[in-house]
Amino acid sequence: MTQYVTVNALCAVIMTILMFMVKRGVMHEADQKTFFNLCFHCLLLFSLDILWVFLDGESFSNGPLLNKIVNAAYFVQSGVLCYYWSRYSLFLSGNKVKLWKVHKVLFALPMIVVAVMSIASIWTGWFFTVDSSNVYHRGEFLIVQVSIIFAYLLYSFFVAVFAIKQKRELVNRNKLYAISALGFMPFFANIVQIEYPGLSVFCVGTTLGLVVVFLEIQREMISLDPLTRLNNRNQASIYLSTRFKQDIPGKRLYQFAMDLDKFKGINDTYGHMEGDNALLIVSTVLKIVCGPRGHFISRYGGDEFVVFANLPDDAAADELCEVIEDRLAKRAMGLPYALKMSIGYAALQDGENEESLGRRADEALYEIKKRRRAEQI
Amino acid sequence: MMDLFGYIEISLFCIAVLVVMLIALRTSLSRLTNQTILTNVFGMVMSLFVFDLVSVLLVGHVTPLAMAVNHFCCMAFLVVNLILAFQWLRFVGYNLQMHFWHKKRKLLYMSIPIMAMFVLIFGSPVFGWIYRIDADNQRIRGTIYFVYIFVCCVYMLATGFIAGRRVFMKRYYSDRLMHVSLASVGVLPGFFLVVEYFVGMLPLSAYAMVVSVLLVFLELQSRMISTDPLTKLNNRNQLHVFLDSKLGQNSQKGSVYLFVLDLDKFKDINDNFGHQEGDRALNIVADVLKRTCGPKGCFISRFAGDEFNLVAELPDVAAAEAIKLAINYEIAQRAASLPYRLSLSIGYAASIGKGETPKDLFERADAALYKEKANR
Repeated sequence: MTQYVTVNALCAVIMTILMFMVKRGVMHEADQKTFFNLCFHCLLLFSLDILWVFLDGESFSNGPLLNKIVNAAYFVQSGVLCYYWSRYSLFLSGNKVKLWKVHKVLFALPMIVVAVMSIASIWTGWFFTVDSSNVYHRGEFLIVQVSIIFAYLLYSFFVAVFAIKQKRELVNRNKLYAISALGFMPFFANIVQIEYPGLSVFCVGTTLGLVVVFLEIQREMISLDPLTRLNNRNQASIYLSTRFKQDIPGKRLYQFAMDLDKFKGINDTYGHMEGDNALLIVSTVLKIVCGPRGHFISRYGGDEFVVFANLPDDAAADELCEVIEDRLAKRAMGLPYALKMSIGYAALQDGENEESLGRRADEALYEIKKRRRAEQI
Repeated sequence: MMDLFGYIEISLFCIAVLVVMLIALRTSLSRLTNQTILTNVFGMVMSLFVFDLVSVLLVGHVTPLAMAVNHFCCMAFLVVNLILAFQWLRFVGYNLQMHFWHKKRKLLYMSIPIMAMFVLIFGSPVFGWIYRIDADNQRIRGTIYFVYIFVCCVYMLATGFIAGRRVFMKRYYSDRLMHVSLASVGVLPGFFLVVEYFVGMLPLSAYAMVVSVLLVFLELQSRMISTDPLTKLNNRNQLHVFLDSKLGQNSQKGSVYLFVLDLDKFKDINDNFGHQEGDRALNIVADVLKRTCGPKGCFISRFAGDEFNLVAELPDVAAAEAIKLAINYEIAQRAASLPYRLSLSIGYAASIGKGETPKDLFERADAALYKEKANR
């Protein structure tokens, strides 16, 4: 019993810490709200669990009634938690909102069934019964609750796995892995809990899942540009510092400096929203082209993008520039304005430092810009 | 039997949390300055659990080998625990940039009690000072176990003290939460070590260590997120992201209001009272905004210098005016005890629906602010 209380209390403390961190951090609004709710529901479940341990088997006036109420609340809460869990999985994997609205009622239905049956169990003993010495026993229909919870968790697991298969972009990967852990942890934990009912494994699974997700969210926020979800400038310099320490035989480090042509014109004529849209298109193109090739993409700010690549020679670098420009041209077809990029690059020379590499890439970029302008005139 | 399972479960859970954090720490591209120390600490806490688990699992096995392994685990557990207590102190000293961290000799003096404890621990298999192992191969407390608890507690409380002291210093106002979390790495395990001494069968202080390590790690991470380092409000980037998303969607609650807030004569405060006082004034404003507008679901950010922004969805102008009054009232309350005048000028504008860019909204809010300033 001490262990049961301790493990629940430990999970509750960790959950409180997470909630606290979420509350004062600056996550994206929607994310913050759902995550906080999820933590809150977990906390509630753990508290009910602890309360139950203290009540169970103790005899005092109205003990059985109180025990029944706590048990009912616990079962209701387990349904609610799993409902939110799946919703969060859906939310994180970015499923379409429209689809979600159609299924809203259908999706909540199992939770409602669990809730109704849990409350009814106080009289009917479906999920649980409490005997005269105030000890909890399983009810005959407990399997219903267990399978509904299973269904929710399994569903969120598959949602996550499916999303991982679908989205191959580099930046989203880690988060999706985290989601799959989120779906998988309580699912696995639940199986163990059926085998060894005296253990409180469920709380361990959920807590661990949420810690993983929270760490992942934090990591994303530290290292990504909020608009394009590309690496930010910090990350670029960190990447460089590690890359400088190692040598890849047969390949040299190339820095590509990229700049949107006439970005200011887009912003001024079509507004900032359209400007952001243009940046998003560029970032998508870069992700599609450079992501699978393992190049490092980052946004330095404004309309300035930087890609680092390990390439054998200048021909490969020229080819990369061409592919990027081609792809961008295809994407930009339907737009009311011209969306073009200028790309300049420089290869790392022996004994060169980061600054000088960056400067030479910038110089190459301006050279190209100048040439383009000259061509236009 | 069930108890043993529970025991193992908690230990495995703690190890899992530590592993997760360790992975996050090692793969986090952002290099924390104290990454090495933290890695060591994570590793040591993990090894605590492993030694403890092995020792518990060996109960009942009375072969000479099992006895020897148990002795090793017990000693290792105690030694690691002591080193951890010392490492906390170093870690906190490092993070607070205290002098002793750099001075080899001071560190040496500080580690003398640990050396003494090592002698006691290594003597224990023979003399049973700190721990003993009974005929059932179970670990039990030695004759002077309390000395060990005492030494650990001294280190941990010292840690708690030097970090906790700063929580109440105005100078470190914006770092308050960091200091709270650093203090917790001393206070929590120390406290539970004492609790454990009186009631426990479970390694409560090790659990407490996991919790406080988590607290520190999350706090260190969250400080790196794109907030304004001084006031811990959202920065300009976040404002743009938020405003874009709000203006893009149709709201049921009313229209989107953008507030622009500006400190009156902030330059004078800086010039006459110094930058520290200026920073404090900014923190007071940030605090007031968090208190009055946070609960209403407003988005708060510091744009730059002495300029703050709020974004809120409000039903009508009266609600916007109410927010403005509430902020001004709170600021006046806080400013009463300050040697200088602290007041805000607030201008706001409501979005007029689709087609309006954030830039237009900004311009109108700015215009309202200048009108307000001119009226003063």
